[in-house]
Amino acid sequence: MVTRVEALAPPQERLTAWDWARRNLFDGWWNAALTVATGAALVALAAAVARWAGRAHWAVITDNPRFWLVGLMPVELIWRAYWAGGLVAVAVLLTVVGVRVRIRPAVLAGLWVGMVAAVVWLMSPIRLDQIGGLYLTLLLAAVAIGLSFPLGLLVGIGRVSRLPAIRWVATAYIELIRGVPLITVLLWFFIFVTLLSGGALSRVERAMVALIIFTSAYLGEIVRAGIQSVPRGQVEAARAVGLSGWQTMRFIVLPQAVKNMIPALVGQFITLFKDTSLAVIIGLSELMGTGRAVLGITKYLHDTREVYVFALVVYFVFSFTLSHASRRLEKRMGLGER
Amino acid sequence: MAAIARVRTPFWRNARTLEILGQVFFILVLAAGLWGGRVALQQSFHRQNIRLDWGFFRQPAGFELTALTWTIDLETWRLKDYEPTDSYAEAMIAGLFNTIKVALLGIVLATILGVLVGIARLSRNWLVSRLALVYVEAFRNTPLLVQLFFWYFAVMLQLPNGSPQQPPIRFFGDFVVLTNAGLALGGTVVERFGRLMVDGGVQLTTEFTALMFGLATYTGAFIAEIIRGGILAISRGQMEAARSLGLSQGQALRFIVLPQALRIVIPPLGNQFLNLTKNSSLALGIGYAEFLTVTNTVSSQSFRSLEAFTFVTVGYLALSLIISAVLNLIRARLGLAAAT
Repeated sequence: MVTRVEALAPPQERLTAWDWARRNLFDGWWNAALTVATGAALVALAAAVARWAGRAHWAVITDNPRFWLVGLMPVELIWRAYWAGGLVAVAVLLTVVGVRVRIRPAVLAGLWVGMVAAVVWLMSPIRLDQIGGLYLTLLLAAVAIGLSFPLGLLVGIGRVSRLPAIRWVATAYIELIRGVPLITVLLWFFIFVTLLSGGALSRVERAMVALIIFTSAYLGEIVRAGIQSVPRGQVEAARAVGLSGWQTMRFIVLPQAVKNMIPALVGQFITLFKDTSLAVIIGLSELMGTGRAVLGITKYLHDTREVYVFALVVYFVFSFTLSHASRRLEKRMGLGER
Repeated sequence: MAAIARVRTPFWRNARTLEILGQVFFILVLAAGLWGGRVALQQSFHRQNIRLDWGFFRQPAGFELTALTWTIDLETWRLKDYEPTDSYAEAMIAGLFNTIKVALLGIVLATILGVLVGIARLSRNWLVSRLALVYVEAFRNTPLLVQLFFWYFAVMLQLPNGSPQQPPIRFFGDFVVLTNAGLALGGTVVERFGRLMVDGGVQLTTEFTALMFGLATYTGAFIAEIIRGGILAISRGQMEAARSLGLSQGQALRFIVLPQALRIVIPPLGNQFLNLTKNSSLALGIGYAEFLTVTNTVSSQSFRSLEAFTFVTVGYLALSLIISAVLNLIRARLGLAAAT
C-alpha cells in the first residue's frame, strides 16, 4: 500500500521592504558598513559603464548584423541557413513540449532524423568554409556535441570494461587527451592533417574533429563516473534474472547512469560551446574570428572594447541560458536527491 | 537416476576464449589502424619530400623573447638567462619556465580571490552575496580566450602610454604604476624621452599582466564555487554549536568551519590548479612567451611544425602528470581519497 504524502511548504513570511532591508542589508554596524561601501562602489562602476556604453561606437555591430550572424555566406544562399536554423529551433521546441506530454521516444527520434535530413538537404549547396559568425559557432558546438556523445559513451563503457585490453586503451585515450590543453590538440591535429594529405579536410572540419576527439575523452570520464554510480546490486540482479552483459548495460545500467550524468554532461557541453572560440587560433571565422576580422577594417580599428564586450555578452547569453535550463531540468527530475 | 550428460563447451563457444580472442582482435584492428596511418604519413612525406628531423632542436633560435627569462643550458645543465643565440630547445625550455611562472602566480591570486568570493557568496548581506554571484556567473559563462582578448586588447593596450598627455595610472603613491607598457610594483617614476617610466621594482609586461589577471579572475570564479560548496557541506549544526559556545561568527568560520571544509575542498581545488596551468597555453592568442607561444614561433621559423607540436604536446602531458602526481601525494598525506 503506497500512500502519497504531500509535503507542505514552510509557512511564508511576508516582510515589508523596510523589514527586509533591515534584516538583509543593515543587520548590525558591520553589515551596514559593508552595504554602504559595496553599494557606493557598485554605483560608481555602473555609472562608469553607462557613461562608456552611451559614448561607445555601437555602429561596429549595427552596421553589419548579417556579417556577425552568418559571416561571408553568399547572399543568395542565406535563406537556406535561416530556414535550417529555424527548423532546429522548431525541433528543440517540439522536443521540450513532447517530453512534457510524455510522447513516445520513437516519435521524437523520427522527428530528429527528419529534421537532420532536411537541414542537410537545405545546407548542401553551402560549403562549410562559407559559413561564419555566430552561425559557425553554433554549428561547431552542435556538431561536436552530437557526435562526441556517442563516442564518449563508447569510451566510457570501454573504461569500465572487464576486458583489460579495451580498458587500457580507453584509459590511455582519456588520460592522454585530458593531460593536454585543447589548443595543442587543435594545432597538432591541424598540422597532422596538413602533412597527411594537403586538402583532405577543410579548416572547419578539422576543428570539428579535434573538438570531438577532445570532448569524447572528458565525456568518457563522465560516463565512467555515471556507470559506477549505479549500485552493484543492480548489475548482479540483472545478471541473475538472465540478462546478458550487453543487455544489462543497455537496459539496466545506462538508463540510471544517464540520469545521474545529466548535470556533468550539460556542464561539459557548455564548456564545449565556450571552447569553440579557440577555433579562431587556427583561423576560423566563428563569432570571435568575425570580431577580429571586423577590427581589421580601418573604420572600426579603435572599437576594440565594443567588439569584445559584444562577443562576451553573446557567449554569456547562450551559456547562461543553457546552464539555467539544465538547473531547472535537474530540479524537475529530482536529481541529487536520494 | 539419470546422469546429467556433461556437455563440454566447444572451445569456440567458451566465454574465456571468446574474451581473449575479442581482445586480440581489438588490438589487431587498433594496431592495423595505427600502422595504416603511419604508412599513409610516410607516403605523404615521400610525396611532398619532407623528412622528420628531430635534430633541429639543436639549431640556434635567433629570436628574442618578450620577457627576460631563465632557461637551462643544455651543455652544462645550469640555469642561465635566455639569449637569442641559444638553441630552439633552450628557447622552448625558457617558454616552459614562463608557463610555470605565470601558473604559480595565477594560482596564488586565483585562490585568494576565490576564497574571498566564496565566503562573500554565503554572506548574510544580500548585496554582497548577490555581487559575488554575478561575478561567478559572468566569468564562468564566457570563454577564457575571449576574456583574455578583452583584458589584453581592450583594457591593457588602451591604458595611457605615460606621455604628459596620458599620465600613467598610479595607486598608493608610486607603488603600483599601470601603463600600456605593463604593470610596475615598487619602482620609482622617472621621466625619460618625454615619457614617465618606472625604474626598478618588479616590472611585469603587458602580456604577462593580462594573462595573469585573466587566468586568476577566470579560475577564481570556479574556486569560489568550490569553496562555497565546501563550506555548505559542513553541516549547519557545526556553525550553530560553535556560535552557542560563544565563538563569534568570524571565529566559528576560522576555527570550526574552514578547517573541516578544507578537507572537502582540496581535491577539486587541485583540479582547478591543473586547469589553470593548462589554460595558460591560451597565451598564444595574446603573445606572451610561454611554452606554446615559443613553440609556435619555433615551428614557423624552422618549418618543423609536426616535431615542434609533438614535443609541446608531450611537454604539457608531462607537466600535467607531474602536477597530478603531486596533488595525489598531498591527498594521500591528508588521508583524502584520490580524485580522478
